[in-house]
Amino acid sequence: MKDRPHPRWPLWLLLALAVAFENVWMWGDSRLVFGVPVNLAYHLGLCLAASAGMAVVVLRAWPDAADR
Amino acid sequence: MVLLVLGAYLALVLAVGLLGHRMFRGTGEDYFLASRSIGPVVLLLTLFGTNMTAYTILGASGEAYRRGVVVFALMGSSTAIVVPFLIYYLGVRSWQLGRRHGHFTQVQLVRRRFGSDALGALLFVVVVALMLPYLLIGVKGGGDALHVLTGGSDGGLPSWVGSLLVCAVTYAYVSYGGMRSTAWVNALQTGVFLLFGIAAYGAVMASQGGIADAMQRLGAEFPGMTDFGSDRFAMLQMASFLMLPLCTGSFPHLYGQWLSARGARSFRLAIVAYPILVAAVWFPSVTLGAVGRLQFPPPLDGPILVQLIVANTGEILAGCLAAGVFAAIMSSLDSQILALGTMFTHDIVRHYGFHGRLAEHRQVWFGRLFVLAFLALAFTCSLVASQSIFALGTWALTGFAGLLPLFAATLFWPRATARGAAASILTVVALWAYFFWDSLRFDGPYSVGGTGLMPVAVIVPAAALSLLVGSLARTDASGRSVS
Repeated sequence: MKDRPHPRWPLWLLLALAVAFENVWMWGDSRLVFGVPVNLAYHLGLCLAASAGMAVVVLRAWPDAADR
Repeated sequence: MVLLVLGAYLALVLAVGLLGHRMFRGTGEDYFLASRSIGPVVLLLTLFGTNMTAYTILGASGEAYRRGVVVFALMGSSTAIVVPFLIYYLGVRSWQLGRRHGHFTQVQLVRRRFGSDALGALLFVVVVALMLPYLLIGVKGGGDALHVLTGGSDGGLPSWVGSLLVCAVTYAYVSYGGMRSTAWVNALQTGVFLLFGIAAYGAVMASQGGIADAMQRLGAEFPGMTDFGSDRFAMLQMASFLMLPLCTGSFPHLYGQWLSARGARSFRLAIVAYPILVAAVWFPSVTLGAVGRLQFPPPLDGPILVQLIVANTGEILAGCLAAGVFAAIMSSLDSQILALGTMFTHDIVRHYGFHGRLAEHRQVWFGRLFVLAFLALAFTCSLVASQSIFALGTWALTGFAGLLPLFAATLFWPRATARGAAASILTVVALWAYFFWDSLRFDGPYSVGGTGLMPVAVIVPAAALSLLVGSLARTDASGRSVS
């Protein structure tokens, strides 16, 4: 049985996260958000976004043949 | 009290390790890969625990003490973004092929894919050479941490005691129970350093008046500590740091853990939850390190995290920190040492000595022998190693990241050839050696030409380009499709 290959579209999600990682527009900002520096809060949010994105990937782009 | 808490923790580790042995089936596949039976929760915790080293707990806070909260982005969120994709693509595919063809190691995968013994031998040498300094970091780090936590130069235990303790406990459960014990102990250890990290964070932040107050004072007294800066150097460095976690896709110890999964679906939890665990460990580590600047002006007398905990909490929490540091060290060391034992048993002894045929009980016997030999070697080296070994260990990550194009092509690119693969490995070796040699001329952090660009950002694209050119330049491809 030929395996269904891994879809490629999750790589676009990786690219989007990589671009969002370089939040250069706010690097100089030292305001606090909920007591945390805004850049740190942004990157915490990025971790959560990565997790949510991967949840979509495993639900919508799982290589079904992988377990067979 | 520190030693009492640490002793209780190590006894618990041994008990869990020995429990894993009760399910041991006596076969090579069970010893090296837990009979490919590890479920989603243990897989997540063991993958995460293996990737989190003592550097995560002590090194990240130390770096945050010097540079501020930007360290979370450089080392934390970069890992949270990249690693789940590596598990999704490389982990699942490696597991699939490993199960189908009975692989134990990356060298077997590459040998089979390209049909080249010489390429396998080249990869074996490079991987082992990169692993050894990385291994040494754990052994030496354990000794140094115990020395500081028991009083440092003021009557603390000599470093070799901690190193010996780390080696002895790790040997006991890795040798006795193989991959199953290693995975179970790693799951426990990951839980321990997550819990102790949160406890330490709560206790220390409370003593600083809460995070909001501490960050406000930090921003006022040390303005650069709460923002990310905005120069070109920082931009290139950020881009480089996004490439460093690629090393995770080439680690032989993570490859072994991928193969130990019960099924491809076991990876799903790890893929989704990994970024959250990264945030849970790195956030306390980085914020505590940065806030430590308010209480301890430089130069520091030991790791900032240790100083904060000893100054602001009781001895019990200091003991818990010691247990957390040992957990981080051993949860990486055990997998690394087992991976080396697996490689020497299967890629050398079984492949060259017995032409692929080696009785199951002998595989286990050889595995245990190599685990003992490497731990003994690492312990002996730790007695004479200088601090520069830590720098070499960090450089090992760059080397592993450079091998990623090779593994990605092995798994996903049918047109890759043995020639392209060899060109890629040799490119990594040549550039790695050049940059390492060049870095010896500098005292501080090294970047390519002082631009902020780290060597990994040059080595990875160069390795990919060599693979591409080497493979396409020769049309009579010697590699076989893996699908």
